[in-house]
Amino acid sequence: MDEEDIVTGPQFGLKRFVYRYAYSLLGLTGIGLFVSLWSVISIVGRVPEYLIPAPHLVAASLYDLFASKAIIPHLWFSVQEFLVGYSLAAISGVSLGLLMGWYKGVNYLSDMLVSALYSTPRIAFVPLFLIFFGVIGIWKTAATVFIMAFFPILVNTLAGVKLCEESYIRMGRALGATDYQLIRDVVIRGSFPSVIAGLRLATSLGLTALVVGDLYGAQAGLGYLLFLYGNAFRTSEMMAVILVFSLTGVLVNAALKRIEDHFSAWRLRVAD
Amino acid sequence: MTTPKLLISNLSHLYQDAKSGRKLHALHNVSLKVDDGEFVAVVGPNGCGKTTLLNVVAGLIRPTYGRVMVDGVPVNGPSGSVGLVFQHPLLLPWKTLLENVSWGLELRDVNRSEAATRAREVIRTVGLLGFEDYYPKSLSGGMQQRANLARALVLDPELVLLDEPFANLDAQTREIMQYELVRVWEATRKTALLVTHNITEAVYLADRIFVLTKRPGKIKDIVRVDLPRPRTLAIKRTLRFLEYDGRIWDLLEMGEHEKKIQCSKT
Repeated sequence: MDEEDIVTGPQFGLKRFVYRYAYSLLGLTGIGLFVSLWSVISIVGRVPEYLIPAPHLVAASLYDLFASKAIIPHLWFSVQEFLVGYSLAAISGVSLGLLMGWYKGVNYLSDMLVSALYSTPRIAFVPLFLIFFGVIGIWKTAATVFIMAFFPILVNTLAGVKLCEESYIRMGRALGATDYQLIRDVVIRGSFPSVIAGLRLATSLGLTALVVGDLYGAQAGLGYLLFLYGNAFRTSEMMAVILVFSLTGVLVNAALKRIEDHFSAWRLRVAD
Repeated sequence: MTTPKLLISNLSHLYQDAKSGRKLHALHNVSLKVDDGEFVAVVGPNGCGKTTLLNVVAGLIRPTYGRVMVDGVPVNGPSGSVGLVFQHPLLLPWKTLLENVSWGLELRDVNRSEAATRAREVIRTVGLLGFEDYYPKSLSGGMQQRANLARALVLDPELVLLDEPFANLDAQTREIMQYELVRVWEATRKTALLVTHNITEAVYLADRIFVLTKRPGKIKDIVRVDLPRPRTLAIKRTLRFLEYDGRIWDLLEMGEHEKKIQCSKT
């Protein structure tokens, strides 16, 4: 039985700790190795600070950014942009994906349009958003986040609905379920893993959009800050901002993973 | 005369392949009558339209020609009066056993606690009490099939349709499940229509057996099984049982043999 596998292995002490967190420990070791290599290159290799600042300098910059509160307004600005764009993308992407997967008519109506837009480099829309929304306010970058995050969510939801087993639908119909009940109880739950996969993909693309959206004429935001420091050759501050992006991505994905795990207790994962 | 529980008259069904436009004649002029409280089996070779027949009775397929009535009411779509037990258990993997069984009731707006109470009762009937909170993944094949049966029974249907319910179980589990089904059926006396290609299973379970021909499926013969009830597994080794078994084998294979002989003559 699966449950027995989980409780095997050492039960007490350091060994148990190592056994339980083996994957996390290995992961941390990997990061440690990377940082060490980085230190060696920048310190021993005498690489100029404006090219590759040593890790401790980046850490110091990161601390200063928060301690001086210089980053806070930009961070808040970007958080708003991200939340607005990402939420709109999630709501509309999942809804349209469900509709396209369920109703053939909606699928035929929108399939060509979606394919065309999906193959377009979506960054090309950024200048358009600049014209639509102007440089001030969150909307141009929020729109960029939306257009980047929307498609992976839509495409994955659609794939999830199509993968949802026909036989479950037939069973539901035989039990007398209506379309609405089938979508609610079978299709949404059945396509859930795909939807989460789409949301995760959308997270990294949405964060990319935060940078890309600030490329032109931005006046606030993490992307703006990044370019500001970049233009001034303040590489260590720049890297600190990049680190903020990474941490945000990791946090959002971890949150999504928690949600996924909560809804898939029935799958009883052993290892990821 | 009382109205029969299930009345099928002059049922024919053609499938049309959307791409090639070719037509497949699945059922031809099938008429049958099942009385209240009767257990009837339909046997036939692969592709004789057995499953089509069940889907039509369940209201999942609209037949090309003919009429189906349950309790004198024409079947126009799935309804609560017909319960379907599928070949595969098809339990929703993200619902527990209890949730799976009570789902059909919740779809009919039965409130949650009453649905759970009724589901628990049926779960007891099929012998799964104690496993209500298990997910399908941790249930064995036989247990999943019991749950499948429970899901159909919880709606208290007038007619239970069984689509080769034990075809995917190992031989030993199948025997046990057949016995369990006999036990549950003898306790509830629901009118039942079983479709199977397992002749022994049909003889063991049914009061009457409809033998279908190969495609297009037509009724070749009806065999009344006069074995005493309650039926135990031991009955399968009695001479009378084996006679029924042999008779149906003969009915199924006769046509094939005749054809072969004719082919070799010409």
